[in-house]
This record gives sequence, structure tokens and C-alpha cells, in this order.
Amino acid sequence: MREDNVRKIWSEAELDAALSDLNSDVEEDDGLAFARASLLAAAGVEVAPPAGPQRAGAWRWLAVAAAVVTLVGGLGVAAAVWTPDPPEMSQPAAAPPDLDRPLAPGEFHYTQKLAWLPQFVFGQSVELQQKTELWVPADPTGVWHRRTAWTGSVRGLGPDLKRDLKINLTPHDEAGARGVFADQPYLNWLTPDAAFLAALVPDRQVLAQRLVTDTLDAKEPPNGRTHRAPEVLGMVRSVLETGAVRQDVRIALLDALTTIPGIINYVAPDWTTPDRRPATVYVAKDTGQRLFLDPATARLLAADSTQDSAIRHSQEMPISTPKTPPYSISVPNTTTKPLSPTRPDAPDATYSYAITRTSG
Amino acid sequence: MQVIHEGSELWGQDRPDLGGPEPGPAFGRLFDAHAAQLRRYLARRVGPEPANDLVAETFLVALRRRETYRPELGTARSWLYGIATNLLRHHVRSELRGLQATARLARTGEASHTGHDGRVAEQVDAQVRAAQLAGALARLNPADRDTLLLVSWAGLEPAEVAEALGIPPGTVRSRLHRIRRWLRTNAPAQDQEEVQDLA
Repeated sequence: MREDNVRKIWSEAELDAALSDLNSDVEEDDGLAFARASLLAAAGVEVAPPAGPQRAGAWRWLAVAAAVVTLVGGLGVAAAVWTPDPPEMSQPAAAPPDLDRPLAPGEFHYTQKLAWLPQFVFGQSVELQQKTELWVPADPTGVWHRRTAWTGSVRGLGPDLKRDLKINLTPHDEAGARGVFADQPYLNWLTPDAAFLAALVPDRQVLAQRLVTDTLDAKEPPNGRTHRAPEVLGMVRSVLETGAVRQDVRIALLDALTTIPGIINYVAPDWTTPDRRPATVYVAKDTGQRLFLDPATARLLAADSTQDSAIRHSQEMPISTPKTPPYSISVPNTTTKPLSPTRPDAPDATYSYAITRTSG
Repeated sequence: MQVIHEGSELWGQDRPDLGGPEPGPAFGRLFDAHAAQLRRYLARRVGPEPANDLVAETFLVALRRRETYRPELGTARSWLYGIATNLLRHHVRSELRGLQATARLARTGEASHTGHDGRVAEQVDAQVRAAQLAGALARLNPADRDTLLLVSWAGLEPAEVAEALGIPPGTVRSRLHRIRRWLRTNAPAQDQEEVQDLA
């Protein structure tokens, strides 16, 4: 029998030592520079990109620091959407910025997507967080910029293996004139470009018809086929996550969703918009796939994972070179198991929006 | 009394006026004085990425609610940690998952203890002890966990914890005494207890 099994009470020093050791290997992070810039921007201070040596990952804030005055309102979206019953509920929320105002030349619609993606690492099924940013210029026929990178956050991996996991944080940048990116097959709603967005009209009936019957790729019949509810949600999601759809079109799209068989919607009881209003959830009944939207602005706030996403290709980003073999990395197939439409778990992708004066 | 910004003649107070018409400079100093330590505290509780978000959100909430800060009732530091503590309540499940994952190491460390030389055994003992503590912390209620870790990890004085949590200082002291006594008795047994997973 070991001593630990006999002596059941720690001394004060042992307790203090354990408190000191637990989770003490916290590294510094340059995320504070971005937080500071956001704070000062919210306080009305014109700020320049923070000075000082740049470390790996500094792109995360440098890319948008010059535009934080307009960015800060959008930054609150991802942080706020999963904070039900916030402590400042009794306080009037700050007015969100008008993200639908006409853009001046040189400005960009900016969308940030944070998504947890399933991966196999060290033979285990884990989730890695990926950030995808998209800049769409004031004139959408200009050059779009897309940047994808792993954030370094991992879910489902023990601390010991997490230490051995090396995640490549180098961002992958792509440029696409008129929103057409290289090596990306044209999939209509699923890869919306400038021409596609311009062709969307704020007519609920027209949009509903297109959502059901539009041809998505060359494998479909010439006159299209009837799409199922989960496909329709994926189509709407891909379009809305560009951040560049006009508000009247967005609202018409939501109206159109209410006419699609197999899609229901309800007010999320706990999940809120950035200014603390209830979000509306659109659900495909047969799969449980959800979209969370701001009912007032029709902005996409969050969504469940799907392969039918305009930025799904980013899953192909190289992940890591763990020290300890054997391991394998693969993207598992999308689950087909139906999920409860009203389940309480958080969706694994959240979105935030802003207007920026740089394209990263 | 704690000095927030040592060496600064302009802002050597721990209870600054945050309600002015131009809050930028004051909040810039507040951030510089506290953000790094706050981030470290939050990262130890919920991990680095959520901690970055929480730091940003804490200061943005503080900015929005600056009119409610009452210097006569507490330091700016305790006010900030009070906001952060409220925001942390929405991360309880992820914090518990992390603690429970660490707690599982207690049992694996126990199994691998035998046969090590003295120095390695000490390291293993320390890991096992930290893992046992994690399991015990996961069993505390959130208010007790906040109280303990605001002192042990954030370095707040009991009086500041009282300000942060809005409870009497005497309550903080008695709560700390009770929590520590419970941990000393119960943490060593965590390797023998089932750690219940959260879905």
C-alpha cells in the first residue's frame, strides 16, 4: 500500500503547491494587442497597429488593426452570441454599427468565421478551431481576399497529447477577382461570386423557387432538381456567409426559407444577437441542421457544420506534425444521424462582421 | 493599497475616474495595468483562446458600464475581476471538462508511479497532486471555485475578492477557510473517485 493511500489529508503547503502547479503552463499571447486595439476603438480612440516585435500569429490582429474603428462592433458578435443571460443585461447595449451602409471606395465587407472542425489526430477524434476571413470590396467585381488558418485551439485532446500536437498556424491566403477563387468549381449557391450575388433579387417567391430548383453543379439535370431542406439551408448559409448580400435580399431569403417544406423556425430561448435580442433558428427537421440568424437584420450568426459551405475547402489546410507517431489526419464524412431540432448545444461555427478599410 | 501603475505620477491610483467624457486614455492605462494578469488567470481557468475573448469582452463591458464603477466601493482591479467572473459563468461547462480531463491523469499518474527514481517520482507526485486538485475543483460549486481561484490564481486579496463578488470580506475569509479545509481532505482521494463526464 502506498503512502498516498494512507495519508488522506494534505498540508497547507501541499495544497498551495498543487494550486500553483495546476494549469500553470500558460503562454503569453499576442491576442491582447488585438483586444486592446478593439477596446480603444470602442472608446473612440484612433489607433495605429500596435508596435513591437511581431511573433508568429501576429497576422491575426495586424490584418485588421488599421480598421478597428469599424471592426469593433462586429467583433462582439461571436463573443456575444453564446452568452445567454449576460451580466450586463440590465444595461442598454451599445448600438451596433450599421454594416449595411453603402461602402466608400476602398472599404470592404469583412466576415470572420470561427468553426470547430472534426479531425483525427493521434488516432483520436478531436475538433480543431479554424478561422476564415473574407474581404469583399465595395465594388464586388474587384478582388476578394480569403484567409484561412488554424487558431491553435483543440477540443477533445488530453493535455499530454495536446503538448505533442504541433499545429501549423500559418494562414493560407487566396485572392479571387469577382469572387472567383482558383481551383474552386462553380457550384452556384455554394460558391457565390459577384455575379451570383448581383443576380439575387429581394423577391421571396423567386428566391424560394430558385432555392428548390436551381442547378448546383453539372451532375444535376439541366433544369435542376428539387433540393432537400438541409441542402437549402446549406445554400443560404453559403450566400449569407459572404457578408456581402444586401439586407433586403437577406430578409427575402429568410422569408423564402419559411416556405420550404422540412424547414421550421423558432426563437432561440437562450441565444442572443450581439445587442442581446433573441436569435431565430432555422432547422432542417430531418437532420437537425441549424442556422442562427438575427431576425431584424437577417445576418447569419452561427450554424452547424456542413460540407455545403462556401469555405469548406479550408478543411484541407495542413494541420500539424505531431511528434508521436503513429497518427493520421482525415476529414470524416458528414454525419447523417438526425439530431433534435431544439437541442441545446452550441453550433460549431460562429460569424462576425465588420466594415474594414483594408483587405487584410 | 495596491498601486496599479507603478512609477506613474499621472495615474498611480487603484481607483481611477473612469466616467470622464473621453474614456480612451483611462481605459488604455487600465488595460495595460491588468490585461496580461487577467488573461493569465482566465487562461488557467478556461484555456488560452477563450481567455483572449474573455479579456476583450471584460474590458468592453467595463467600458460600456463605466458609469457604474464606484471608486469608493472598490478598486478598478476588483471591479474588472468581478465582470470577468460573471462572464466566466458562461464557460463553466468547458472549465469543468478541462478539470475533469486533468483529473483523469491522477489515476494514470498513480499507475505509472512505481519504479521511478526520486527526482522523477517527485515530478510525478506533483502532476498527480495537480490532477487530484483538478478533480476536487470540479466538485466545488462555481462560487466557491471563483473565491478560491481569485485568491490563488489571480492574486487578489480577500478584501478585493469581496469587492469583486459583492459579498462581505468576512464571508470570503470563512469561505476560503472552509474550501481549503475541504480540499486538503478530499483532493487526495480524487484518484479513487469516478470523475463524471459532462456531455
